[in-house]
Amino acid sequence: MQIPAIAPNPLRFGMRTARNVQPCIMVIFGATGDLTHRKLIPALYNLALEQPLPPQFTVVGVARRAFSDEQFRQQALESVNNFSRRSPASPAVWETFSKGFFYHQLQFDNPDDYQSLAERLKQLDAERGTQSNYIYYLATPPSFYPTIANNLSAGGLGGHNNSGEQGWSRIIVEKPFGHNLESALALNHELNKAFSEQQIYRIDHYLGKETVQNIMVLRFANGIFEPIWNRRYIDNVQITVAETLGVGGRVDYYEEAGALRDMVQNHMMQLLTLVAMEPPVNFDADAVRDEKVKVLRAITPYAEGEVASDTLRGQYGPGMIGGEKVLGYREEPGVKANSPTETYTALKLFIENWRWAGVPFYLRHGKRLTKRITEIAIQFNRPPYLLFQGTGADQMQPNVLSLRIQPNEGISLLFDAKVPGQEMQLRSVNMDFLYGSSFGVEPPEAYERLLLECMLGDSTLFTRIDETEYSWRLIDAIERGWAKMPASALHQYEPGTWGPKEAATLIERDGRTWRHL
Amino acid sequence: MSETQTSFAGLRPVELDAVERELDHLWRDANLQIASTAGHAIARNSVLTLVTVTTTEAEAQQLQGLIHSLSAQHPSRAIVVAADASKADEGITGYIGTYTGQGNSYGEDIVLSAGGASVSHLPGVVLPLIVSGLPSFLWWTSEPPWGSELLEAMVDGCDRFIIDTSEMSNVAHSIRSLDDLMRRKSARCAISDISWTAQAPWRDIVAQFFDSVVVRPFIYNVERLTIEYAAGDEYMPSNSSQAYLFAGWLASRLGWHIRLAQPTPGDGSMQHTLHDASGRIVALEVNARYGIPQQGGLIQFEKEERDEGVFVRPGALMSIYIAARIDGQLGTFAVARERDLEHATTACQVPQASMPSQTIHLASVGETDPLAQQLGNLGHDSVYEEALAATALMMGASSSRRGIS
Ligand SMILES: NC(=O)c1ccc[n+]([C@@H]2O[C@H](COP(=O)([O-])OP(=O)(O)OC[C@H]3O[C@@H](n4cnc5c(N)ncnc54)[C@H](OP(=O)(O)O)[C@@H]3O)[C@@H](O)[C@H]2O)c1
Repeated sequence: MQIPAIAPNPLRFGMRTARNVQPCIMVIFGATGDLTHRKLIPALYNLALEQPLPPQFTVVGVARRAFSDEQFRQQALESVNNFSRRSPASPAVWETFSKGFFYHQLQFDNPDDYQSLAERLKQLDAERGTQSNYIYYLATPPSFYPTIANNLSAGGLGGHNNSGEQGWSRIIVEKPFGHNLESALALNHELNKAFSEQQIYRIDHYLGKETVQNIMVLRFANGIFEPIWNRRYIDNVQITVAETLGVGGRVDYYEEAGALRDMVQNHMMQLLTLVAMEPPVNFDADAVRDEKVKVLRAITPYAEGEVASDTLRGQYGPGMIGGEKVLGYREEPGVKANSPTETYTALKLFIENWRWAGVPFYLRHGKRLTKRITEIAIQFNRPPYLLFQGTGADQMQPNVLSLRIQPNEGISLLFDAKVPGQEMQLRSVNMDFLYGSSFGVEPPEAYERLLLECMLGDSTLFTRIDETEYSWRLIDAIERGWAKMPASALHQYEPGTWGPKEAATLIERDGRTWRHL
Repeated sequence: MSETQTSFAGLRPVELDAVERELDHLWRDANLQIASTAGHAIARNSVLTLVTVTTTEAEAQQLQGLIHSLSAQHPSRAIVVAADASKADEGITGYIGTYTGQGNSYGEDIVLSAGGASVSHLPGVVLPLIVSGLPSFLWWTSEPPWGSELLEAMVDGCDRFIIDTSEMSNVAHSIRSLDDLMRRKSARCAISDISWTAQAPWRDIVAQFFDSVVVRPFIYNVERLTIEYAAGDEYMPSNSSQAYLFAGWLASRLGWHIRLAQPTPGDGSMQHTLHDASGRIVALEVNARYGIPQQGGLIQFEKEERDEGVFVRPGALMSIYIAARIDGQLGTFAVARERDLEHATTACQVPQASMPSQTIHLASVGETDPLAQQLGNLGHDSVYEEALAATALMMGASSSRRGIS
């Protein structure tokens, strides 16, 4: 029987791992850096251990220093042992997996080096059967993205000029993608010279989180939520990303970025779009992202003066958190003594479409807050309490559906019930569903999921350029407004609190309050 | 809250008609206690009902820990039934308890124990306790009483029936009976086998060889398939269920003909002659293996080694070897368990293609927690069902009833 070689693998039929990764080489630029060390290598090892990856899978580490393959492997092993949730590495698994690790010394801005890289990749293709499939991971300072993309392209390694040979190439870029709309578009323009949009995978690690993906499942796999998921029933939506940590090690980046760019532009906008989007026609990458973009496009731009009333920023001062003394932001090493960088931000925005018109979305994020929690709360309208006059019902909380992203992932619904007895006495009760944490072993990390999705060629969980674009438009408008405001508009707050007192005003003015978390 | 309830002994007896009411009370009491310490109330959610049938109360007790550990992923109502027809008939006794444990795990337990003639009344007590509207799983931990009213009624009342044919003393008989049950009950209840789930990693690894388009044609040209499984000893008898299910899987996926597959017992092995979809011969050999191959001969696994944890259950797959030929060119594909018994390593040789070898940690890809994976499957697994049908044929089921050749 002659069967065309290209027919799908008959043994994969009905299998739990029906989507399979094709043999490929992942070229990591910045292979000696922090991100590679702490996140990428451990994630690759975990995938190899638990999936597993195809035997041909190959990693080529690229950076400036002179390293041998053996040194790179040694460093990679240390990464796994220090940072993998499955550490220490199993010697037997590592033995064969690490045989696919190679190091290539290269100056990002030296075109000649890319020639030798291309030769090396060809040679590895032959040795390891990787079929000219390449993923380039740019774990480098963003300023190098255009240089690397252009040099890849000139070296015959880009997407557009694959010189007719078989094989695909994809490029993964880290956050931040630009620092405003203009720089994001300029960066994208540069990348597009070498790679088309379908080949570009912009990381937003929130999308790799299990519980974030669950938002879509909750909304669209349950018949009961969708009919009430709109302005007729929902009073407001609150999204909170609270951290207890301070700025930590990445001061240079943070000084430039601040809370708004660091968290709201990407992660919180992703949460917002997932909660607010219309049902996609299917779960294809573009179908989902089309709907997300529509949400971003429908956000009403801030009019003159609205930035002052509808947004707020703060900065933590010195104080105590969890019984320990902590430095104020301006005292952190590397931070300017008069730094205007915000470590807290709160804002109110509206989505001007049929589903959401008139429903305020309140977002808040800060460092050094009371506790670490990420939550989306859908607050429903109050019912008319006439029936229950004199029972205290008007003091009760409205129904709230809360989606907790971390920690204690789960869903809870707050509703009112009668206290048993002769009296009509009401009480709010919380109905909780906690997702079980899988036993003993920790769940996969965001980077594992995202790396796997890219290897599979599925970009649903990556940010498309128009998402980035519309999100920057909003952020830029806020930044412009802030630039015109006096220094006193940066409110100081005590570590361990829920942020500046003025944040309460932002919402209480509307007759609402922030959720007590 | 700490572990309130882990042992069977800690459960409280309950009248059979008061199980639901008493469980409500238990949860309420637990929450009252927590409210008084200002803790976070415990939820009472379930995503499924797991009915486990064992023989003795001692076995039922032993299973508690395992069942609780499953609840971390699948908060559930667990009903454990100790049904021992050989025991004196003292009616059916019931016990209940709730627990919260490590991580976010929580759940509720119901234990029912019956002897003698009361065993046949169990379905009437068990089935109403299944949480309505949620999936229900029936796990029979030992050889089920094939054809009995008890089994038929229980299977009819659940969505998924789980057994482990690698625990059965007569594999051929169990596989044939299960195949028969599957065909009769397919409209109501899905059938599944822990033995099948446990070897999933091996199927993944073998499938992976043929993901590469260069290598793929070889799978349609197999000449020889050799499967080895861990032999047993006087304490744990040998069991070929995993090996034959693996062969049944390949045969059903590749359209092999099994009719003439009657085995010829060879030198410590079973030999079958199958035919591939084009009618060419495929030689299948199924071997029980007493050691791990090493350069210079086999290593026996010693009894002491087992006690120290280097241990693999009899029946576990030890190696798969496939030889295929295209235009006279030989391709070989092998996976073999390593000496440490926890890893398997691949070796593949094909003309004009390179395929590095790979070592896999079997527990990390699911060899050791097949039951938890079973609870994640809700519907019918058609690949398994086809593999089971093929395996049953290999093990002597009559093919005429089914129109399979
Ligand atoms: N670190 C994190 O946790 C984190 C989190 C989120 C996003 N990110 C993003 O990830 C990216 C990488 O961050 P990182 O913290 O890993 O950076 P990093 O530790 O500073 O590493 C920089 C890497 O780039 C290499 N490199 C720098 N200049 C080079 C040149 N001219 N030619 C060749 N190689 C050069 C370095 O190689 P040598 O060592 O050989 O000099 C090193 O491997 C950034 O975009 C960052 O924003 C990082």
